[in-house]
Amino acid sequence: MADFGFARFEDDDANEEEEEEGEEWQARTLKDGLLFLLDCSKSMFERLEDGQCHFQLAIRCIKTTMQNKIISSDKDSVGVVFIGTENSDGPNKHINIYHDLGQPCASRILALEDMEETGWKNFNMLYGHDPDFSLSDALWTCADMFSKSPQNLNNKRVMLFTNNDDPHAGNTNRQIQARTKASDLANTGIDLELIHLVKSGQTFDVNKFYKDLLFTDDDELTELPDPAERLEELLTRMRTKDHKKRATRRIPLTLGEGVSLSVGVYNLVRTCAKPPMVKLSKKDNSELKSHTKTYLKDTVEVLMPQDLKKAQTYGARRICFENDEVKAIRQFDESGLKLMGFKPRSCLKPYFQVKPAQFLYPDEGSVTGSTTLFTALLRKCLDRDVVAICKYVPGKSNPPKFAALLPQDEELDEHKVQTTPPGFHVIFLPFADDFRKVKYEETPKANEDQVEAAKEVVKKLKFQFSSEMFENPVLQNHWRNIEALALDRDEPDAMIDYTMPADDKITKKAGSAIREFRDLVFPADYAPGQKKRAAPSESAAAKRAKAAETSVTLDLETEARAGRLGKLTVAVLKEAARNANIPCLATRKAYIIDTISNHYSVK
Amino acid sequence: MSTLVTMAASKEAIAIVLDVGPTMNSAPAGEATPLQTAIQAITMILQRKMFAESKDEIALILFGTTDTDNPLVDGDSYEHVSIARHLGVADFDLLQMVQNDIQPGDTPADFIDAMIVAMDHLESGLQGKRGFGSKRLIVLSDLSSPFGDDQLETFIDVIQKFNVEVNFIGPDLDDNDDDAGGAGPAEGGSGDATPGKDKTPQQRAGEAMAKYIIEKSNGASYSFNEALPALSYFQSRQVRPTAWKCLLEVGPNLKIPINGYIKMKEFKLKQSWKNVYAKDPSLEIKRERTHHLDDEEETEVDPDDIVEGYCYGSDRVPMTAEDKETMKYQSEKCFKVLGFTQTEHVKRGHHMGDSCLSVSAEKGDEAAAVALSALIHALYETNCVAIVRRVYAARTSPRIGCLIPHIKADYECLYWIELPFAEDIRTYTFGSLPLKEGATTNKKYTPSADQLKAVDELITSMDLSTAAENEDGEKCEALKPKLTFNPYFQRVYQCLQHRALHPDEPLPELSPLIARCLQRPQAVEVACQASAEKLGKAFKLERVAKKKEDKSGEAMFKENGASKEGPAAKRPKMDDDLAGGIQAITKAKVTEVGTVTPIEDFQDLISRKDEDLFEKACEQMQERIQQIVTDSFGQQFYGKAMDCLKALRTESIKKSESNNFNDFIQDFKDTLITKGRRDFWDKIIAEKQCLVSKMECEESDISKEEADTFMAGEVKKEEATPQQEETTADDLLADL
Repeated sequence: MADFGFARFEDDDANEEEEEEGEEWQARTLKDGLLFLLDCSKSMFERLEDGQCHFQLAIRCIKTTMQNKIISSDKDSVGVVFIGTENSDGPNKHINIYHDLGQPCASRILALEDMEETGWKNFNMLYGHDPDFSLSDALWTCADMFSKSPQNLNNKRVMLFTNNDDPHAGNTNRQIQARTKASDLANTGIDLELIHLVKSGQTFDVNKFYKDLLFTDDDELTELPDPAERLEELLTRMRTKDHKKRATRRIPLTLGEGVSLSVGVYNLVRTCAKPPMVKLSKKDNSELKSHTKTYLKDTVEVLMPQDLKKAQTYGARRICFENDEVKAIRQFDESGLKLMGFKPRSCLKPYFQVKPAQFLYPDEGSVTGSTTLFTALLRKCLDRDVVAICKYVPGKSNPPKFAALLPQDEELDEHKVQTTPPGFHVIFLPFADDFRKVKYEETPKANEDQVEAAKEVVKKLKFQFSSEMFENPVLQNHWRNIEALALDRDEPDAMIDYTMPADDKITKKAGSAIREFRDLVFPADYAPGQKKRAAPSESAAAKRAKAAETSVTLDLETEARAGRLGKLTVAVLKEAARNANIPCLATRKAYIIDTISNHYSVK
Repeated sequence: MSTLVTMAASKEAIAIVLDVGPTMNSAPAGEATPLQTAIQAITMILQRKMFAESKDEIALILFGTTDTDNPLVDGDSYEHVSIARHLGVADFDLLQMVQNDIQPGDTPADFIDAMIVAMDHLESGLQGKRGFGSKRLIVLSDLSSPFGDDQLETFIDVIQKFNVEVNFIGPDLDDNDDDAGGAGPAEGGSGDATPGKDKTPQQRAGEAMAKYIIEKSNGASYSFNEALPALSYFQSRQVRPTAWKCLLEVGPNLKIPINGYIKMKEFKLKQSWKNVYAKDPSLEIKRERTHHLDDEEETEVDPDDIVEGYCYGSDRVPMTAEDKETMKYQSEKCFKVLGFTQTEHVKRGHHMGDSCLSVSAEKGDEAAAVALSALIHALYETNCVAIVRRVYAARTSPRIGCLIPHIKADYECLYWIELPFAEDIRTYTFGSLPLKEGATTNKKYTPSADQLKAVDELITSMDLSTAAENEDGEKCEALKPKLTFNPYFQRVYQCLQHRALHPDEPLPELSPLIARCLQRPQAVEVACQASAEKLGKAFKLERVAKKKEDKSGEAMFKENGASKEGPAAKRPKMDDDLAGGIQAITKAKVTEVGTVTPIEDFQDLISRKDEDLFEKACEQMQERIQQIVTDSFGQQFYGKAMDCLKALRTESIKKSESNNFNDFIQDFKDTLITKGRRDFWDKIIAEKQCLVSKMECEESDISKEEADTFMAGEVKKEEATPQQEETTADDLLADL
């Protein structure tokens, strides 16, 4: 899903104007391939305590994975192969290709759903069971499917679901064949993952057979991890787009004359937008292509690119440029970061916010020695609590910006897993143009008791924030809707909106603290948001009536010529304009006055 | 009622009062005269007014002119003051006059006289004009000519009565050492108490007078050095701040009425580039978009037969307008606290959005002010921030953000900054760096004590926090964002202005003014020479040769491995991460994109799962494409080149690396045209293998519209970053 559209996840109404969508949306690209190899021996169909069987569990995993793939990376290919069936659909005995490698789609998901719910009961009738399959043949089938895939697959993986730790017991020949085949797979870059299913009370001994098939980095593998965790992972619905780690660019960071290291620039946070809308034909839901043409309004002459120039209009002049000139105006410098100097970190104000940050990590591949210098710089910036101020030209046709490089030490969690990588955040600095003047009024300050009461509220409602906690409800809702439509559901899956405060919990935890605070800061009769001073305010209708009254006695033209319009209320002005038959749709006073003045040609 | 009046009166009448007297025209050889600098400042004022499409009106009054031209002249009072331009909206004629027609005068004139003439002119010029809420005098002078103060009190009365703001702009104005001179107004005898400053007694008297007027008019003074940055306020002043009014809720029972004002927001140029017909820019141009079936004839589809939809894997799911309406996420305008958290849990690098909102209590509501003040202090003292759900208006998308307490001597507020949603975060793992003494991971990159010392010295020598001097001669922070203009906007203005005044000339050179703000401050540049040189010696940096024959893929493209972790499966990072992950698997296969089977080579390279060769592969592919096209006899190899280009483009989109491709295609166009291969370019257009837009790849900097116009032969370089609904609304309100 590299093709998410604009960084707009706003109202659909706003999209109405984005007519030009959907054009080149189907860039068929190569992605990952995933084959599910599913052991269909009888034992997989034995009912467990919860009334379900391993086969159902496996099918549910496959279905969930497919649903997740559609959102995370819908260009990936997925396939399902049954092994241990009685019949077969190809040259290899006891092997059925249930889904060939292909992009996930609604019909496949629905088929899997059906298989999980009722279809499994008829499995024996449709496919039958036969334990005399060859794992080597099964793996060969997978390799063959990958090689025949019309897509160029980047990363190929086979996931084997089984509850039998020794499928070829006593058949040394088959065992050797399977091992050889597994090694072939590993050599051609196909990963094999074993999802072993165990009945409670039973064990799955990986040493019996599978150990030699799994080419892991870990030679010490003697025991397989508890399958429950992996299964839970496979069964969790995730509606998040996948991002492959990749530098958006690699550019020089110049510290001084002739001292340039190379850094990779990464985006660690970026607004994830709704997927782009496409135009479909009502007849068959096929995707439409679009064409645009530019023409002269008067002659309807179609214009070619070379017929066009760029223009802006200022000071009553239309100022034209050639396309190349417009491009040249943007070009200041070669791409790169150039150090301007250092400032204490406190100079980086929290309100300096014009763009999400980027991240820098050394790029040893372009300039050797980069990592050492980068490390030294990072370490010293951390030690001295300074930020490096740089001039940042991302690409040669991007105008320069200033950025503060904020040093970031590596952070690990209790399992030594990295939670924050080491490097520099690139915090974009605003320009003078971006500042707005905010006027602050003299206001009364809280006293100590009030502050203490507020602290109590803060204390009661404290939690450990992490951005991962809040899913975007609009995006989540959108995906559920598309899913519901695609899978023909009566209603979309339920969604928890984590951005809504849990009022009951807040009241339970901090109800009394909040009450105390409120009583300390607000007068007893305080009604928030209601202007008390304007107590007996006139109703809109009353205002209208009064305006109508005033406006009748009013000579609008005289008032306009005398420049007294500003002294009248909006209601009176509108009413008077209506009486004088001056079309006036404006609601703002300045515009109403302008309209009236123009009507009487008063300047 | 009163607010309505202020809103209506949103325009400003400005009289620019420029001293053209003899002292303004003298400067040491090689330096700009004060008059030249003043003209530059005026140019900037006009330029910004024009380019902000301001409706403010401007008059230009000159004093020190040889002639006299003003209605107040009476005998020898108000002599040598001329109204050069009557009150009107800034336009190119005025600009041209300022640049070309202002002549230095030979007679000193009284600046108070000139200001009175200016006030009088504003009064008469505004007769019958509406919507002018404020008036301003901008006086540009070195204040070294004699003046008379007999009219002073009347003048002060008038400016106070009409609420006129007075600004002085001059050389080193306000740089006075009051303490050294200890002088009040009119005392002029302190001579050169400060070494290095050569102000005349007259000038000191003038400055004292200016200060007095400023004090009375609630104005300000600027030195020429400060003036240019300060001019942005002249311009942004007309963005009337509009409050976002809402209730800050903490649980269901605590509601504090608040006003939010935009404190900071990425500024966009007011106009974008429009296509015009080259032969006659005045003709109206239309664009039409049609939709077609993907069949042989590309049958056009009637708009009534089109439905919107979304992709679901390989399926296309139609979503009718009614579906959308019923399924839409419902939201009410709100500002609700979800909880509080320690400040350090909100990472600076996670701040999102393009703006910052300053939140204070509802105007005039004292109870709300007290409540908010208590909350601000509570957060400040406990080092906490509030995590808040914000919905700008009903039916707009909710955001998550934090409220950061901000306390100053004269005001306090909360800053609202947007934070990412879970979907917005990309969990990438990077190799550890040897940041601590004795770190074992990536040990070979550990900097030595000497190297650390060299960096330390660099930091010391490049301290920007003391690299500038303020008006009192004290050291202060250089490169302050608040005083640094966006050079791109300045450049656009410069080019627009130049083209408007000289339609037939090529683009002007980058103005030194703009170029200067992109360089290191002089003090730093000088101070860091030695330490930078040392640094260069301490570290061995070697560019990796681009040519890579006979090298294995592994050695060529060392990249951080671990490119495969998805966010779901956090893997413990590998220690050898930096060195390229799972090296053992790397096979000596294809090492570069050849000319025989470029596409296969390319795809082989980029599909290596063990390392990331994408960038290199693209580079080589681009070279190949260029080569194939240039080597082609006629159109012989165009097909092959096109296939390569398609593969490159497809992969670039897929890998979210469209900007690289976009840069290439833009350059490639030039290459093609200069090498007489326009026919291939036409092919690219025909095959739609042009710029990758945001629509296709979210990483792209190019909007759909820009891509289309480029394809239509236009490079739209304006950053038309898609506006989010809410911020647009904010802007609209703010602009009104």
